[in-house]
Amino acid sequence: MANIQWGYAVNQWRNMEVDFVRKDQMESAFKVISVCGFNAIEITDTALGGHMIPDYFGTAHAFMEFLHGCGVERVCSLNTGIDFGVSPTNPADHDRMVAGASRSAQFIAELGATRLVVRPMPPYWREAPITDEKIKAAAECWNRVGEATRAAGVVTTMHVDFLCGVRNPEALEKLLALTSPETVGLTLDTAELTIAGIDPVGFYKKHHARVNHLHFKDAVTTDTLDEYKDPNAEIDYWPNNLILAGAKRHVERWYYEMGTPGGLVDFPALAEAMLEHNYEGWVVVESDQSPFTEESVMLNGWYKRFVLSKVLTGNAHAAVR
Amino acid sequence: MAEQPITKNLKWSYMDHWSMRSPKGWVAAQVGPAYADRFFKQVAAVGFEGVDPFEFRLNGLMQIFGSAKKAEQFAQDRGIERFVNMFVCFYDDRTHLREVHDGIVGAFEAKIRMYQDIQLDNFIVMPAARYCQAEPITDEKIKNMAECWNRVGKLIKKHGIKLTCHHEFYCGLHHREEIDKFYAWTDPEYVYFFLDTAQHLIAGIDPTDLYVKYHDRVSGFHFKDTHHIDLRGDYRTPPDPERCASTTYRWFWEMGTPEGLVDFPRFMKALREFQYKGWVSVEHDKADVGGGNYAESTCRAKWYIDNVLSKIYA
Repeated sequence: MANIQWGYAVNQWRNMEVDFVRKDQMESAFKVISVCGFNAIEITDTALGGHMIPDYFGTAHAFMEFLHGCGVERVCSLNTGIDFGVSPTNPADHDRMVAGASRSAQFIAELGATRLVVRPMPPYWREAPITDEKIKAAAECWNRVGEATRAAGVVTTMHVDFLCGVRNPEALEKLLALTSPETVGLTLDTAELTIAGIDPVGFYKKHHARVNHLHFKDAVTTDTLDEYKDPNAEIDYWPNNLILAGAKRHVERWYYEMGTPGGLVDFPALAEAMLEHNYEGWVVVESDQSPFTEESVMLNGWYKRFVLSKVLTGNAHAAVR
Repeated sequence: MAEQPITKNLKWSYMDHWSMRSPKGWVAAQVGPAYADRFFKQVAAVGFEGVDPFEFRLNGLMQIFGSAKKAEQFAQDRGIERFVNMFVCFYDDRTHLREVHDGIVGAFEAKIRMYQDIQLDNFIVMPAARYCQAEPITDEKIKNMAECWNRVGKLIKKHGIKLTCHHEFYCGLHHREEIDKFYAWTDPEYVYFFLDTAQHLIAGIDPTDLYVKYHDRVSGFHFKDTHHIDLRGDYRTPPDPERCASTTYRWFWEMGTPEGLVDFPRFMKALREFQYKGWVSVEHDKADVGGGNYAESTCRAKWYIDNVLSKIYA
């Protein structure tokens, strides 16, 4: 337990244009996160990333004072697309992506962050077919990005989601084999892997040495119709891309709070595996797509406090449920 | 989960006004076990150890789970220590009329039987009818009120429960003079004071001054804030000054808002001075008026407790 720190992703507060654009909205979000037992936040390009902190607060120091005043210790990570309209499968984009990642790393290091969370490949439906050549190009990109961010003390970590080009076990294994364990890690997102049909516990046990960041959220269904392949399964949008996959079955919401009845992720088993492999680092809880922002943080806070913390301290029998 | 002895001075309980969104609109936690599950987990998540139900809400849980004890066990399984106080709703509140007193005593006899399988510290009551229904408030009427609650307090104390009075700003005991007379004419052994920080401030009475005066009568608190003082006599206006007054549609706010009028740090210093020990309840009354929600208000209030108030006294 002593090696694990808990953060919360602020992406759920940034759904529409009017969300998370005033300091009082940020203050409320940070205080909710703090009182529910999370020490840090993960920001995104459109939720405190890019120009937002300089524009709203002037300096990183001023923002950190604001954050501390709300009871949150630091920013732990930036979940980034690095730049708009680029792809790691296109070698011509690599210089631009490396430069962008380097700038981002330098900036978030001032906020206390240690992880740059990147998407290893754009949506599957745009990139398919996923050839060895594309995987190799992406690996080369992330190896260069990893080197660049390391210079700022920030580790690059690839976040696989169920809609991205690298979301099948075979492709994922190839990408991991071609990226440097020294500079490129893996963010394990429990819900994304589950929806993609991959057991996150088994995956963690196999790849624990590469996992250097975790996203905890639950799912109640998987992509049984392979909707990730469909045109427009995900479309570019602002402030966030929109997921259209699931429409065939009227899946309105893919992601749920930990502890949701019917949830498919076995979090206690994953926590025990993390304990066994002595995981050190951040666990970021996410509740993107939540229609009940504060309720989701509270429910996740409850599950962390009354279930997972007891497992992670080796006191599983004391977990409430 | 057995109750732990108080090793700190204060324990925080949550007065249940909760509402939450559902596919069928806004609902209370009593609409079903799945909703009760979410409610108890959410208040436990931020560190509340007790829950104070309204009588009708506890009755709802009892119907769902079979008994008060089973309802409490459901909450305990989710990290809540116990139900602490119950806000009593069902009795003839025209306590200024002596002829209704026997009926009120009978109603409380029934309540003792109904909730006998759990430990409740206080039955909270509004000690008078609405001001507009009881005025003019004469000494004779206040003496009648006192006589009524002396009888009820004596009855329920035999069963380990305190009768404690919560003065809504629109209740018949509204002004400081009325409150002083009421507590002078009630028996300190049987009638206690449940001090609501916002209600008294809305009535123009400083809650800290009240606590200093009545600290030895106080058996609990509602910590909540307000942005308004009633300068228009809303307390006298029918039908419901809490919900449709001319001053504002939302009288009550969580602690920690910039516009809040209650001086909570000063109030906490008074608790520290008199070494209050026991439960303190947080109340968010109609937090959902105007687009707010209970989850956010509750997080904000508990954050204020943890980061501001607990540094003064805990």
